[in-house]
Amino acid sequence: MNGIPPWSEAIPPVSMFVECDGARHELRWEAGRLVPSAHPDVDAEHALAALGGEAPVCLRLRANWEAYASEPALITLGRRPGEAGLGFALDVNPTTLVPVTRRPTTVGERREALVALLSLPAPFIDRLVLGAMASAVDRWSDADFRERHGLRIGAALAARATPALRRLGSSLAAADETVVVHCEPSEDARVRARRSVRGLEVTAALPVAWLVRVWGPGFSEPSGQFVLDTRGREVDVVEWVGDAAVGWEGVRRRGALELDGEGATVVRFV
Amino acid sequence: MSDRRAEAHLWLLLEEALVDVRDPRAETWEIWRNFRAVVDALVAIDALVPELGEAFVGELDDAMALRGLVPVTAFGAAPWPEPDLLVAPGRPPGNDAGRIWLEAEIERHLDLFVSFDSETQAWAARDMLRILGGPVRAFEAVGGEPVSGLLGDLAATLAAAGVDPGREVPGEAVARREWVQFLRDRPAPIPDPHVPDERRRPRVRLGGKVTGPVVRVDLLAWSEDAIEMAVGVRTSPDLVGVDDRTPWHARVLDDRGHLHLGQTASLRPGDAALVFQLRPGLVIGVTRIDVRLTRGGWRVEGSIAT
Repeated sequence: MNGIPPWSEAIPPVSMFVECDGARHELRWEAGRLVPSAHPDVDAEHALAALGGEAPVCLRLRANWEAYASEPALITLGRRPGEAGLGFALDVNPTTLVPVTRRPTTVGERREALVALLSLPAPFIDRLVLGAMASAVDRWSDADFRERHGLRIGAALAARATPALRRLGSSLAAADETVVVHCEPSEDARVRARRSVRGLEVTAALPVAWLVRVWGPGFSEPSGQFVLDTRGREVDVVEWVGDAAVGWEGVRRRGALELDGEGATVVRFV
Repeated sequence: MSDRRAEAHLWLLLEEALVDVRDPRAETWEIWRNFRAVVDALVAIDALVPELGEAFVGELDDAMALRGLVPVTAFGAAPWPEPDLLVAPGRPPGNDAGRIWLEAEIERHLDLFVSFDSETQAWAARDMLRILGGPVRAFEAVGGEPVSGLLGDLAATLAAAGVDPGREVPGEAVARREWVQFLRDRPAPIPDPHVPDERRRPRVRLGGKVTGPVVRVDLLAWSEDAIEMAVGVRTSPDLVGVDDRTPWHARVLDDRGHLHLGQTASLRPGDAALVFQLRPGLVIGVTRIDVRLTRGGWRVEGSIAT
């Protein structure tokens, strides 16, 4: 353990109800997992299903969730900054859910399983996507994974960070100056800026973990500060050092996240 | 180390598309079409394998479907292609494939453009420049020869022909004489049926710098309204990586400086010949034509006495 709390600690639980076995059952997301509250002994019910019994809808949804919890395509599908809720909002059709006893194998099964998951309420979709991001963080050190999915994830990281980086750059730019942002994944976070013929250019290298530790919980810009990293309530924000002649380097300033009197998250500096 | 610049560019372009679709003034189909145009152009110049191109379009379809912008039936959820497809087999960046493709594509657009009435032309000119702008940026992103100058020449051509290009014409841009003439002449549609006045069997092999199929102009038939051209094609095993779906474009420039354009043709499996119809036809006194055939980033050309 490196002392950094799990990403899911910063994400509040959510719950919903589904029609299951003729009743309304609660499905709850907490601590990174989908929990079928009405089915306390999941293993026993799975064993029954393996013997030929029909698995309940809750368990089938959970099995489909687990099957796709690390799917990189979800990172492309998920929400971008400022985007309203998304999802198919279709009624879950139990007959299209893949049985709990095996993973989806065909393209058709994969589609049906994803349509079912992406028909859940938007807060569940957001958490499904965050789970896929967290899985990508775990696998980022694997060269084969980066070879296959690195460009997708790099673009997705840039898309999530760019609006906040543009606002960060705007603090240095003249009123009508264009702010150009370049962002790529890196082991170490670094943000720089310089003035060029294209305008004010901000170049950021961010760890993929920024997606789950900063963007996912909604900590990208508390009180207008760009957050590079979090450790629980502790955050590192960027402060510009330098000038137009030599360019600017974003240095870390440590602070703590707190709620202000109106319930908004702000950074307090020690 | 494989060249992944086309893939990197498309991921960023896909992210841009997902930002653009949120603009309430944006047309979803237009954003989709512009993305598709870039994918097709990169496939056509062999900077991207066709399967990856389709995978990218599928990714955009899926994201748009999830946002309710296209029907849920467009959500295909196809798995990302296997790693061996991620290696683009095509030409090394820095060659002239982008320029060859773009020049033919501009002429394909010009042929469509003259069919619009003058009321529609200003809108169509802006649209044409916007559609072609995506592939131009993509070619430069994958390390090809800069081709934005050619787009500037198109804007200058439109302005010289009296059409508002909807953007400033770069100072170094040059209006192409044959394009301007074609726009001014606005040749009439090809009559159906077309009855040629003259016929020749030139059997002239067209040549090019790049190894490709053997291409021979077998038949020329024309009137003042249209030119028909039958082209024999014998494919070569050296023609690796060219997508069978990539269409062929034909253009003819006669010795009086007049351009003759037609819509594209595709070579279906088993076909040994392509037939093109171009407009306008040839007038009395033309003694020689220059024929150019383009397919993706590959081109052959030659002169034929009439």
